Amino acid sequence: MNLFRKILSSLFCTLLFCAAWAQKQYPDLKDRYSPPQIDSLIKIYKANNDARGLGIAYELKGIFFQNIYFYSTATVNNFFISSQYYFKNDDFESYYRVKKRIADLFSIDDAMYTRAVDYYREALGYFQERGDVSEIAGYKLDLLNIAINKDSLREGPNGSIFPDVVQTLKTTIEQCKKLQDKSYLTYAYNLYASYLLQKRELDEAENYIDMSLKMSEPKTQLELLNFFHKGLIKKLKNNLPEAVVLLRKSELIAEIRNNKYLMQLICQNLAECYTALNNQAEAINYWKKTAAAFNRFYNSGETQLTRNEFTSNELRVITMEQQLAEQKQRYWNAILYSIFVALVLSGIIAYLIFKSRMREKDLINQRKISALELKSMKSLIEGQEKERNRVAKDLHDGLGANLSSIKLFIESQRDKYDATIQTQFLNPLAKNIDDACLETRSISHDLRPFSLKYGFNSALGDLVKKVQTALPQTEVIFHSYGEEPQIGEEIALMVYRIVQELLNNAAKYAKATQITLQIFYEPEQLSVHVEDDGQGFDLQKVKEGNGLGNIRSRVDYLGGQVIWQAAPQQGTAVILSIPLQNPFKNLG
Amino acid sequence: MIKVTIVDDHVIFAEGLESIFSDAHDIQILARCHNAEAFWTVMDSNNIDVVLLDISLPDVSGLNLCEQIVRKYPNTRVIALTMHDEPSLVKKMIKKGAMAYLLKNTTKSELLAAIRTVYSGKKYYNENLMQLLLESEDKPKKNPAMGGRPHLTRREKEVLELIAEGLTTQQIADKLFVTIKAVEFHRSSLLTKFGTQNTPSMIKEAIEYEFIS
Repeated sequence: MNLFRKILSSLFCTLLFCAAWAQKQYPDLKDRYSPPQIDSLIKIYKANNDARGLGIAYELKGIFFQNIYFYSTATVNNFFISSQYYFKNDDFESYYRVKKRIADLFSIDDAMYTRAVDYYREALGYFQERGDVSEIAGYKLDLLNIAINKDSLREGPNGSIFPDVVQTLKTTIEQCKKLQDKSYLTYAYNLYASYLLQKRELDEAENYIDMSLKMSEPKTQLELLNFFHKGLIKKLKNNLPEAVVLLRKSELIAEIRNNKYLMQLICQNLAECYTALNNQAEAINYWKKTAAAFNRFYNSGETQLTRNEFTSNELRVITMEQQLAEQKQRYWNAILYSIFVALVLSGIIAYLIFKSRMREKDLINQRKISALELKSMKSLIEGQEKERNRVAKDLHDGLGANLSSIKLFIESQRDKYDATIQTQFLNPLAKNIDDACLETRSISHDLRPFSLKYGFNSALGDLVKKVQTALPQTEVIFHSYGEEPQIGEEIALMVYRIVQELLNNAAKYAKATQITLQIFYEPEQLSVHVEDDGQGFDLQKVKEGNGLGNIRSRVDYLGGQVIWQAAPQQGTAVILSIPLQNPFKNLG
Repeated sequence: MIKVTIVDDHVIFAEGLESIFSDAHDIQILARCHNAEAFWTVMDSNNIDVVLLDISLPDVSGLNLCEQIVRKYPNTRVIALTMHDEPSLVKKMIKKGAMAYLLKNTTKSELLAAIRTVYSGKKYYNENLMQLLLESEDKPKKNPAMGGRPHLTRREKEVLELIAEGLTTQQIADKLFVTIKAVEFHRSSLLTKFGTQNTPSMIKEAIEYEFIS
């Protein structure tokens, strides 16, 4: 059977190959191909050095993975490779099409959507130069989508994509009407509705959603969004039964389209509706689904990996470009050498000038790389914090408050039942909910230390107390010296995370009987000492594993210093000093 | 009749909370407010006895709001009712004048007891809260300016002894297999802890406290 399949697929590929060779025909992006088929296509195109074919094949591969895994390393990487081949082939239309596919995926990811903005803008610039009205409208809509749906970009002088979002939206809608492009108009109406929804102009928002819904094709992303938004509107209007119907419709489509991102939002809203409707069974069912979807989208190593891999991929491309420049330089040097032989004097002068210019270029390139490294680290760290913040808020305000509501419900009904039911049924139930509340608080606090807003030192005190409670066998000592100066929010959060990691390391790996945390406050800097009497480790052997790299990159980011003192059986001591003025604060 | 206002931005929770008081005949929920602005409108036109206040609110911090309520209406009692259980927040809220601190998954009986207790002018601390406040009672600070024997870590003691023996920073670093920078860090934290500016007076202090002989 397997053999048969292999023969069939190779037959298919030969056919494809012949067809491709005879008429230079490429596979259609709308068709579905299996991975072995795509891989043999790639082999053929590689042999023929066919950049366009390779671009298409990798794009197909990306589409395949997108259908299965949605936002994943495999999806993004294949699209990225595809875009490089199109670029090589000077096929810019395809290049921007594939980059748009990547950007569409990034646009939902809190840590990566600024990259999506860069991509959209780049493409917008290209099409504006060519005067392609339809593409311009499309990219404007994509940018508007981020401007409206990703909060942080909407306000603030540096963040805003458009100076006036509403105005841009309105003119874009007019353009779409002129273009008579149904799908753009559907998109535009949906965006306007979601803008109105945020402004809580519910009736107006519903009008636009209905217009958009009427035009949207069944089972598409837009229909999904429209059902979801209409559900939200109904929920806000307190028409819960209708909200549930609409949200369930959107859930079905999200399931089909494997859109994990929207899935968690849909489930969360459904859970809230069911809680309000006092349908506890469904409410709990949907809270579980929400948690599962959260997990799949955020906590899966996959999302993390996608970001990291992509960033390093981009770095690799720049490094490659630099190598190319070096090769060119060598080539020029050779030519210059012959000139040098012919015209000694002028040759020397030319060579010197050229060489110095090249060196300059080299330096600039190098600086570009390290700036990019720092920039991507910065956006990664910031994005992670933003995302943690959002998830924590959702957990705390959503799940937490709803759990409390369920508890309240039980409490209000308690008196209606006799003592046996109370002790046998209600009390254990209440206890379960209390445990769940505690768990929610603890997760949410790990993600976003709320008390940090009200003082750095006292928040560290809370942290130490928490660690102490979790480790009754270990004595955790916390001393601080000096007056706590004004510490910027960003620095406070970073140092908090570092201390959290250090304490966790000491608790988890060191098996210490005593952990000492000391903070020394000075007006311009703060130093943190964490010392334990645990088993220590061999610094030579561990190098950057064990979360050490993580700490080092955070300290680098803050422009501080970190010193590790550790040896087997000698305990571990870590000293950090962090300047209170972040040197990279103004970095793009 | 005890007149109560709920301040909480979570609509479902606030509604559920109100329903719990339906059979408590001495308690009347006058309003549910979802932000500070709405709350002040209610507050300024009614005689409110007890406010059930959440800490995380959309427009202001519950801590500040609590302080403002207590200052403006000294006869109104504030009960913090929140999801946050960090000891530092509890202490800060009590300091700002809250008469009770309850977590949102509290029981009906406790909620009623708390409202009645604070209405009578007494503070209501439940067992958990007492425990929490006792545990996180600030240990006496080893403030160098105040005197008192400072707390030294093992590595600080090692460095202190070697400084007293008259070794240079480089020698200490070599002996302890650490970098010069690390020794400098320890030296500076020792100076801070003994509250001195220079090594000789630090050694003098250290001898006094019998860290070295």
